Amino acid sequence: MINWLRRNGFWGGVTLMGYVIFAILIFLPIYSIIRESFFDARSGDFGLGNYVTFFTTPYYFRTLFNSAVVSLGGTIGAVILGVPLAFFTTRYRIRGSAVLSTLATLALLTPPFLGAYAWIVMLGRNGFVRQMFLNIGIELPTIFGPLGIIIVFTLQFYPFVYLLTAGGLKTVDRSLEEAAENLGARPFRKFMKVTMPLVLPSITSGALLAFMLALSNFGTPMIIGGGFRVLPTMAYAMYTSEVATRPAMASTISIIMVFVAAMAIFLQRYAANRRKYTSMLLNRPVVLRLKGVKNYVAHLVSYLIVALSTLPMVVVVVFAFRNTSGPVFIPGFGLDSFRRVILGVPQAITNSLVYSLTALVLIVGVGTLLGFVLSRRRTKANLVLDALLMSPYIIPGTVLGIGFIVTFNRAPFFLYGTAAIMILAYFIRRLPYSVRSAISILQQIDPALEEAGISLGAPPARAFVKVALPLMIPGIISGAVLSWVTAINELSTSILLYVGGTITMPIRIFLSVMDGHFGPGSAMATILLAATGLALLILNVFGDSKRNIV
Amino acid sequence: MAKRILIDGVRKTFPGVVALDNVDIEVKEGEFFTLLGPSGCGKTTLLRTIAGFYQQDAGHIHVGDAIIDKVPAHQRDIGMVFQNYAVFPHMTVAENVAFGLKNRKVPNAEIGPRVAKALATVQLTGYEERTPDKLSGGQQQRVGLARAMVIEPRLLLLDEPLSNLDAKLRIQMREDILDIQRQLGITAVYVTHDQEEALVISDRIAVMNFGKLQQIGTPWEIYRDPVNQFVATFVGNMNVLSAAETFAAAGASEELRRLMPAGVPEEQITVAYRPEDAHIVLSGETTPRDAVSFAGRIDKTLFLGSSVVYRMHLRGDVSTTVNEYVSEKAHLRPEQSDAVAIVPRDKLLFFHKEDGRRLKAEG
Ligand SMILES: Nc1ncnc2c1ncn2[C@@H]1O[C@H](COP(=O)(O)OP(=O)(O)O)[C@@H](O)[C@H]1O
Ligand SMILES: [Mg+2]
Repeated sequence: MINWLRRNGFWGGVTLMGYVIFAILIFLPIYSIIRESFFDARSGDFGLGNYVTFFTTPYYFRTLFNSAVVSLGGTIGAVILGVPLAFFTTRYRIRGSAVLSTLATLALLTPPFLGAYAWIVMLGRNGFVRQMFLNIGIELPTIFGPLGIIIVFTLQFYPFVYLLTAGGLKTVDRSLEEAAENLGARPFRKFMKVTMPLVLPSITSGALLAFMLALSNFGTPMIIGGGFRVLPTMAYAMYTSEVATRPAMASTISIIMVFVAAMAIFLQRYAANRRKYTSMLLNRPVVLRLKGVKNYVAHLVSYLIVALSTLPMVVVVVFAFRNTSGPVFIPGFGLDSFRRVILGVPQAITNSLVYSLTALVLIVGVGTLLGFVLSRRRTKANLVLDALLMSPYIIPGTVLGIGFIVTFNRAPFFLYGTAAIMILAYFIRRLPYSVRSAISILQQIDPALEEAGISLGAPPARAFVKVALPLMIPGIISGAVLSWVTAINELSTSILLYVGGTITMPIRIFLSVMDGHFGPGSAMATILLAATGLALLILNVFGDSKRNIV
Repeated sequence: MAKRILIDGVRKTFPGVVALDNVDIEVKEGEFFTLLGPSGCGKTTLLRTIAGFYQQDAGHIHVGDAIIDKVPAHQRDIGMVFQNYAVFPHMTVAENVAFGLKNRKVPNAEIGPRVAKALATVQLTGYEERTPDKLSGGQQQRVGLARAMVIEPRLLLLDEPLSNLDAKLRIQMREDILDIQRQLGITAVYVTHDQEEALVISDRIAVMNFGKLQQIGTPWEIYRDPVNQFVATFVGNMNVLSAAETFAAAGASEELRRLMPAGVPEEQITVAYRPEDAHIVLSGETTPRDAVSFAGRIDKTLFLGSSVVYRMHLRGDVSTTVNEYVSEKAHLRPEQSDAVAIVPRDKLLFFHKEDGRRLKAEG
């Protein structure tokens, strides 16, 4: 071991660290869950019994079907909103399209459960929009149930489709479309036969991303699902009901979830590889100025889409300033709710900040080192590690949470209820993204630069620090900000891992909403939104502006 | 501090490719030595192996009297100039040039003057505080050059340093590089796939193909006395005709038969000559007796300004090219005229058709 390190030096040590992280924080939890899924909860018998139970009991297997329905529904909705918005804003002159894009990005960065919560405020049983309509004699349906989940997913995930498709549309060389026109294609045919096939890979990427996120989303179906259960909420419910026994069904459902997610990822890879066009962008696409009715329609559609997805944020902020008396809102505005959350549960805020910032340091430090090794030293060990480290992509937060408890709630770890387990959860969930982002940053830095440094007498470590690192910094800042946003908004894993003393803002919001305390919930959510908005601002000022956030 | 380099039986393989196949080269002190060959023949691999970015599978590299196989790249004290400049974009021109000096812990008081001198050598005085994005490609490459030579390395490696520049600048820069190398007396190994560049700039050239050395020699030897058909056709232009066809149909004169190498069947022989070594006479005009002639017809007369290129087809659809300097309009040969290409005896080369090796002419 010592010899191996001496032979492979610093970077060999980084590879080793990558394997240790994988073994402890990914492999062990997943292995524990797989193991548990083969034991009967009560009798402890070993076998496939749990899986048989899952697939033969409607109570269980319906959740698989339910998950498929809301995830697909949300994905289709995201495509229906995202593609036209992308097309309008990249091909036609839309006033304020920069603002639209910023708002869409903000919507993407806010956690889905906030959106779900805002929709309850509007369309819950006593939601204000519903009340308004009741006053004029119209009874709107409530947001609860599958349709509500689909609506929230749609508004939450369409920005992914929008940003990726817009990126694709911007790189379709104008001359290709001109060639089609020149060959006599009418505008619609030109779009369907030339433009569309060229951006299809971007659309599918966005759609599959939306699907993955919808599939593993816990907060939204938990908050507005009503009796409608999907895989993550069922796994959570099973876990809480199995605390006294072995977590058999929770583990079984977890494994099934991972399996479905893996299939989705596999599909995405397949689709992305099968149709990949490299474009030499010589002529940028033209941006047309529309006239008359068409112009109005394009503007109206674009504004409407973005407004709908911004609405929940506005509602949350407005309600944070409304006066409350216990769980009910009373007329007038003030800082009452803020006072209550800041004085009442300051711990949630400090915990959130401490955990997310600690995790951030780890994510950026470890992610950058690993990204560097994986992209610049293509040894077999590193190629394998590269693939292994991507596995959190397919592990939904709920599954990771269950895995963490099963693994670390016993010797030699005993981490349950500590701050460490929360930080480690944030860390490992975001690590693959941070590694990927470091790799993509490095791909834009010519390796010859470091070699030039080395040939000028700098040892490899110095060449990295003096040459590669300064060039990576804008990209690293962008990655770090995004990591921080996901960490501070994390709910699905931490909800399983927290105890009273390690509560965080998202958990606090979630609990307030479940208790019907909308005032403090809104105030806390507003603080979270402000943090997210601030992050976006930092991103725009210091980050690498050319780097996409999806 | 120039040093002799000895590359001794160096072999390097990548999965599925032998990039360097037992390469032996000796580069003399202060010599400008060029590796020339088509893309993918292993030039970069050899250069990077010398620089220490690749470890050879077999063989040794000597610099001066020392074997440097085990020395890590950053301690080899070998300057390198890169094809895509690799100028550090986050440093000014002066910082780029000072980088290697700082690594060597050169005292600060000494760094300033040395940077200034290096920049003066590459004619970039006054550009010290500029950042690379404000420099043209040619200027960036000058920074690369200054940066590599300011450390006074034992050896300077240049990997196609001019290939990203436009044609005019390339011609100017190659002479500048040569001047600087002469001035510093540094040993240089230069890589290019451009045969004209290699001929102009080098003391000696090593021609490579498929990881194997083909020939090492002065530019004159490489051009005038190629050891095989690959070198002959890669460097400069060359008409290559099959001997058998030449006799059957191409209207070759009897003189050619007298020159044919002995001991190899006629079907195994290729006849070659350079377009500029031939000249054209119209049929009916007198031809010199001791030259070889090929009779045919002029298809195209291409006027290049300084010279004229004739594309001819010989009898039986064999084509050939002649390049002549023509200063009188009356000497232009019109298209579609019957003509004879005349080649002096000593300008004809013979190669073995299968392995391409050079065959000795008779007589
Ligand atoms: N790092 C590498 N990995 C695998 N194959 C390589 C690598 N570098 C070069 N090769 C292969 O080795 C051969 C020689 O390449 P190179 O030295 O770059 O040629 P040149 O510089 O003459 O164009 C080529 O077939 C190339 O594909
Ligand atoms: Mg090369």
